[in-house]
Formats: sequence, structure tokens, C-alpha cells
Amino acid sequence: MPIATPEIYAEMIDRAKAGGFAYPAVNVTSSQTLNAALAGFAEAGSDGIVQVSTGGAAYWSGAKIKNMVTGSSPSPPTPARSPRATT
Amino acid sequence: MNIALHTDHCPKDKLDDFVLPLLAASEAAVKRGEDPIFNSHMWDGSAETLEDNLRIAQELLARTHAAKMILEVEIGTVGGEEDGVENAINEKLYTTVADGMKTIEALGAGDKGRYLTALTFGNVHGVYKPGGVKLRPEILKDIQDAVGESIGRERPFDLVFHGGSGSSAQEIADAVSYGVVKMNIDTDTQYAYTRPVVDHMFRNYDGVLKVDGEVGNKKQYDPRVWGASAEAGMSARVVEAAQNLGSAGKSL
Repeated sequence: MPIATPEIYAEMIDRAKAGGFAYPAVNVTSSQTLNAALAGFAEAGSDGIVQVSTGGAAYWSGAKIKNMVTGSSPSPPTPARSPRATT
Repeated sequence: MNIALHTDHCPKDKLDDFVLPLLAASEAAVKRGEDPIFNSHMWDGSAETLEDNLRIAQELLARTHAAKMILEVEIGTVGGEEDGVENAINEKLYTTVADGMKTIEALGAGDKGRYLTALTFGNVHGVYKPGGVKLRPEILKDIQDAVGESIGRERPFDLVFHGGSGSSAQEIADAVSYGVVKMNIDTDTQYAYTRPVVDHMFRNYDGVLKVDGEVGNKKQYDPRVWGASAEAGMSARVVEAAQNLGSAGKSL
């Protein structure tokens, strides 16, 4: 399940616009909710978007840490790498 | 399946600690010949004047464009409460055609970089009893038509639907037909994740608790057991969303 490259993301959006459909953008706050979202997309045969909010990122960085930048880092930084490997 | 990574609402007072460092990290990655770390970032200037909202959006758009990323902007206001930011449910929840025109003037129609636009049509974060939220997706059509006509483009905006939780299939289908390409879901997936956990705890209360000097049941309080049902619950809700939005079965 690869992370979209910039080219693929643009293509995803173009296809949705032209084809009259849209992607769920699911907020995730943990490895569990991330895995749940990915499993949902896989089961639906759908491309999709996962997103982190300010509160979600602070939470994910650790209850006592609350750093929104490091809390966004569990999201895999390298394209085409399986997200499950990062946690 | 192709999965894009995005950051959600970032108001002005959180730019320095959230989007700007992440954007800088992506710029550095792109400079090294890699792809950016995130695919898109949202700048939520809805609490600012439209002028400030668009001015900051222009600055950020130039940077995201150069870093092969997409910017999401909000024109209008989303009501309800999310992550400590609360907005009243009033007429500000409905974006005007005039605001749409100013947006296309400030940000271009793709020539200055690609952006997604959350035009609001009564959207509210959270889930309310019937009648609590009045969505008017036809506002999106009005804005797309008017702005599109003025620049000679059909449906110029790539739209984002905020506060998707609790919306009916019809409301979703209408909004998608007017150019929505992304719908945010949080509240419904939070509920779907927690609901099976509630079931597990209530049904197995004497296994997950040490009642009357007993020791409970490890097979029931192992986090993986109730965690797996939580994940399954949330996954099912994501499947439902993909079906409602029409993305199911259409992976690139």
C-alpha cells in the first residue's frame, strides 16, 4: 500500500474530479487508528487520504510531550514504504 | 491502494509549531531530490479576515507549489468544535460567491500551484440530532458556476467537504456532483472505533475487571483483543465512506 507520490496524488484528484467521486480523508491519532483506516481503504478497493490534526499530532507525540511536529512523524516519510513498518 | 498524507486545520497561531516546520522539512527533502514528506497541508485562515486568509494562503501556496505539494484552504467557516476550536452555528457557515471570486483572484486557477478549497455550505464538526445541521450543497454549485463563468472554466475549484460525519448519502452525493474531491471524516470514525470496545467491556466486565478478589481474564483485557474489534469497527466505517463517496473499487 504505497504512499502517493506528488504525481499520483495529482492523478487521484484529477480522476475523482473527472469521474464524479471523492476520497474519504480520515483523521488518525495512533498506530491503531492509522491501521484501521488503511485496512478500510484496502477492503474498499479505494485510494484515500489519512490526515493528522493539531490535536491528533500533539496526542500522537506522547501525552507528556505534546509536540505537533514529532507527533506527525510516525507517518511514514518515504514514499512506497509500507506504513505498517513505521510503528 | 494509494494513500496520501495530509495535515488538517492549522490556524494562524499554530503555523509556527505545526505546518511551517513540516513544510520546511519537505522543502529540504525536495532539495535533496526526494519527494515531500506530506502530500498536502491545510491552512485554516477562517478566523482571520478574508484578506489576511488569502494573503497568507498566497505565501503558503508559493511554497507548497515549489515543494510539489498541494495546499488546502478554507473560505467560510466550519461550525461546531474540533480540537479546541469552536465556531457558532450561524450565517458565516455559508460561503458567498463574492468570497469565491476573491479566492480565485488571489490564488489563481492552478497556474500558481494546485490547491483544494473548503467552501462551506453549513458544515459543522461533530454529529448532531436531525435538524441541528442545515447543509446547502447547492451553494457549491452557485459558486462553481459563477466563478467558472467569470474565468471560462467549468467547476474551477477542487472542493473539500468538512464535517462529513453524520451527513446523508444524498447530501454527500450532491456535494460530490458539484466538485467535492475530498471529504473529511473524524467524529463518525471515532465513534466506530470506540463502539465495539464498549461492547467488549460491558459484556466482559468481570474479565476486564478484577471483581471481588478475582483476577480477571487476560484473554479479555489483552489490548489486542478489544483493539482488534475497535480497528474492525473503524475500518467498516471507512468502507462505508468510500462507498458513499464513490471511491470504492476505483483505486488507481
